[in-house]
Amino acid sequence: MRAELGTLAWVFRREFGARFDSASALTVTVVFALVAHGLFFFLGHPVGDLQLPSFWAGGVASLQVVFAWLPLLFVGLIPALTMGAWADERAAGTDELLFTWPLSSRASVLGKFFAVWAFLGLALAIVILPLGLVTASLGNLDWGTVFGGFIGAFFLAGACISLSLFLSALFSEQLSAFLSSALLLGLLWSAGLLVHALPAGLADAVNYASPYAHFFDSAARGVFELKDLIYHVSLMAAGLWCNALVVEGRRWS
Amino acid sequence: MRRRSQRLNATLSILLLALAVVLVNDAARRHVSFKRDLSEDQLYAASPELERRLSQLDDVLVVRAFFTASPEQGKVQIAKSQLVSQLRDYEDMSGGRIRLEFVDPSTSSEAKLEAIRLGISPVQVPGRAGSGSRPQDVWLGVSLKYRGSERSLPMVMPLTLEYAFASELFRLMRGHTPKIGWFGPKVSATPEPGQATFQNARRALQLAGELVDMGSLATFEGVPEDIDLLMVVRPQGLHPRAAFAIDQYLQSGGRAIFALDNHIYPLDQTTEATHRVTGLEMLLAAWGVPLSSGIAWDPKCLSIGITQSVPAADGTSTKVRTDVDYTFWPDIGPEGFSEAVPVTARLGGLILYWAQAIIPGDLPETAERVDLVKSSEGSFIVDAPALWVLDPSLTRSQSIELNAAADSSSFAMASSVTGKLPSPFVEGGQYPGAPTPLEFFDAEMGVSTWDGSVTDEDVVSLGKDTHVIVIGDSDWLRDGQSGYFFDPDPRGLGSYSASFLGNIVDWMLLEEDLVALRSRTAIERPLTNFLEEERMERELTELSTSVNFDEAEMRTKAEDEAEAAASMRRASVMAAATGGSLLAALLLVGLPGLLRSRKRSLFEVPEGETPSKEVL
Repeated sequence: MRAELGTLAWVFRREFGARFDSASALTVTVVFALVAHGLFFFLGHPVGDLQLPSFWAGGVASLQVVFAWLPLLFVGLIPALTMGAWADERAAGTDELLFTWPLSSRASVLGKFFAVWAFLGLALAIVILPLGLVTASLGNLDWGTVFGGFIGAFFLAGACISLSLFLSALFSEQLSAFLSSALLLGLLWSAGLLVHALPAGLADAVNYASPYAHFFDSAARGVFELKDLIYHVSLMAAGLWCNALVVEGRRWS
Repeated sequence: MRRRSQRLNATLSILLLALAVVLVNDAARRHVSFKRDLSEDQLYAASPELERRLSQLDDVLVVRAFFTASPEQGKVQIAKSQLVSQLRDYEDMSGGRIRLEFVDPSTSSEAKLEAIRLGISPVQVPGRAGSGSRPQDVWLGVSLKYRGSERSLPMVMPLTLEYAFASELFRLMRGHTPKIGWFGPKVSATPEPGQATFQNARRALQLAGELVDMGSLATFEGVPEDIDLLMVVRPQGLHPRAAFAIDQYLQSGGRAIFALDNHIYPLDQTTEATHRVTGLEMLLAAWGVPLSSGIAWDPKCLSIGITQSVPAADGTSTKVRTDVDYTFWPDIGPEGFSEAVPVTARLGGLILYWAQAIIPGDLPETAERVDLVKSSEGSFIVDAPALWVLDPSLTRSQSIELNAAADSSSFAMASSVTGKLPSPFVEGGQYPGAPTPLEFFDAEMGVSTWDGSVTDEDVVSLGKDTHVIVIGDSDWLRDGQSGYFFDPDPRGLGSYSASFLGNIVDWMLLEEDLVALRSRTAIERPLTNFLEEERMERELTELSTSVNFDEAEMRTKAEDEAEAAASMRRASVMAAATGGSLLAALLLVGLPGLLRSRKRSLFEVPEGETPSKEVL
């Protein structure tokens, strides 16, 4: 167990460090920040049931607009961060080398997952914190809601990353991995918009199955619900388990 | 063959895992209710007040939810799921004291009859979007049964469930419906144009208890003992005998709210106001809360839109819409409310109309006074004008005169007095006194007879503890017009009146938990208004009296400058936020990358950085 943890930590360090080696990490973070801030200050959130005016038009000290956009931003951001995680290895053939190393599939998968999750947490902080500080200087910002929203977004990101990594493991090309992940996350995001048109029973089930329902209705408002945590953790566990299964299958094939 | 079996195993594992995820989440959805609201407003978690009341249940509370099992509209289904979840939360909080039952009146005729008996009726909801299906009758009512008494909520929604549920629960636990005595202008089915009516306020009071018209006061029969709260609205020329009845009701431990006006303004600006005494002056003086004779002039007031003619350079005139501050309508903000009592601690605002101040009087030693609502620091008490006129130049000249003549101050507009109160009828033989001529009475109150007799009843003074609220205005209770006065629509200005009335009534009926629940509204969090600050700096917020072309042009130029300065400040804020993010990205993401001289990946391990033996 201890050795397994040590291996996991080593994989995490290597993967997390490797994130900073390429300019893409900086590019992704900068684009994420510019888009999120632009939407927050100028557009508001005119989508679905949660319609919010922009920061200046609303005139309210709140970060709800940026939290409302995060799930959709994740649809582009998370596949961009995970597409190379396994697809690169397959394309370069380094996965063959991996399977010869005395690393368990579980440690490799978890190491990669935590590296992306930690990086995304850092990017979230880079985007949210300056917005929070500026908003607090202009009005009475409720930091409890900001904290709740941040933690909720972090767990939502974890669930999305685990699904994206699983899809990345299924493809050998980055583009395929990116498109399939973006499609899946986009479908999950749009599920919340479809409930109007679905039969009642299905609408309820689809709404509950959508990761975003476990964010908009609770964490984005600063509410921590244990069932949301169970939902996100179970989704993460399922994604990672499937990922490990695919990697393990390839190791022995 | 082996690969096939591996794939089959993997597929089966994934399916089993998916099933496990579904089962775990289904169980969590049904049985896990732990929730913490981290926000300051605490709007999304059950309140401690409700939790406390549920823990005080001595018997089983039967909660029956008359819900349609399958609403066709997806959004209604989701709302129903939220309601079910909230009711289950209450069930958990009660520690087994709530028995929750779900019945569907749309499938059971027995349940439907029961729902109708309880006053619960369905609402028609449009069918599923795009499906072309017909509207559906949806039932979302709840009934509460406790110790043989039953109350119902005809229609509940997630956001309002807690307050509605708690209100009915509190009433059931109290065991009886409070009686609220109403002594005010007579209810007319066909009011004359411009005549003030109070139907919205009466309806709001009916939600809190049984409303009883106090005709007994007009006929000098006194206030019945079973009245829990007396509401006296806009009395005019009240006979001492009626004042005595009110006084003795309070001496016996009764509670009362007085909304008083000595100056009644019609909505028609060309008709003069009437100025009369209320008839309660003696009582108010004895309690230490006398009314000012004049009315409050407050620069922090409501603006009313008017159309002005502005002469142009070519001799013609153009019509300009201007907002004029009407200083006789004080706009009380959060800073004008007392934080000492829950009833006003979280109110968003209140508009008063031609209000008199509650001036400091000789407060009895046995009583305590709290000023609930105050005007702004820049206020004055002035003689009530004969007409109400919207004239910016008049207001400005009045402002200059008043500030030159005296220091401005903040005045109490509503005060609460608790404790033992002295009766003014004990000394001086004013009670029972000689009969007052009939014409002294106000016909609007329904006083029609006086037999002139004098009684020899005992006068009680400093009797039981009582509670009185005096408000120097009654217009805030008038039915809403153009968004002003008492408008139950939450989007209207008058909704402030509804919140204030609801809070003081619950307070007087000893329902402070309900006050706390109603006060659970989002705290207003306005941003610094750059434009307003820039306008203030350029003295553009002063009342507009620009009547000639040059002045109008200068004002327009100053407005443009203020707008440009505000835009610049907004841009600097955005630059600070986005610049901060970009700088953080460079320092935390870009710099570490630069410091690492070459790209590494998991399997391009540089020499000396292979995993150690211990790790592997």
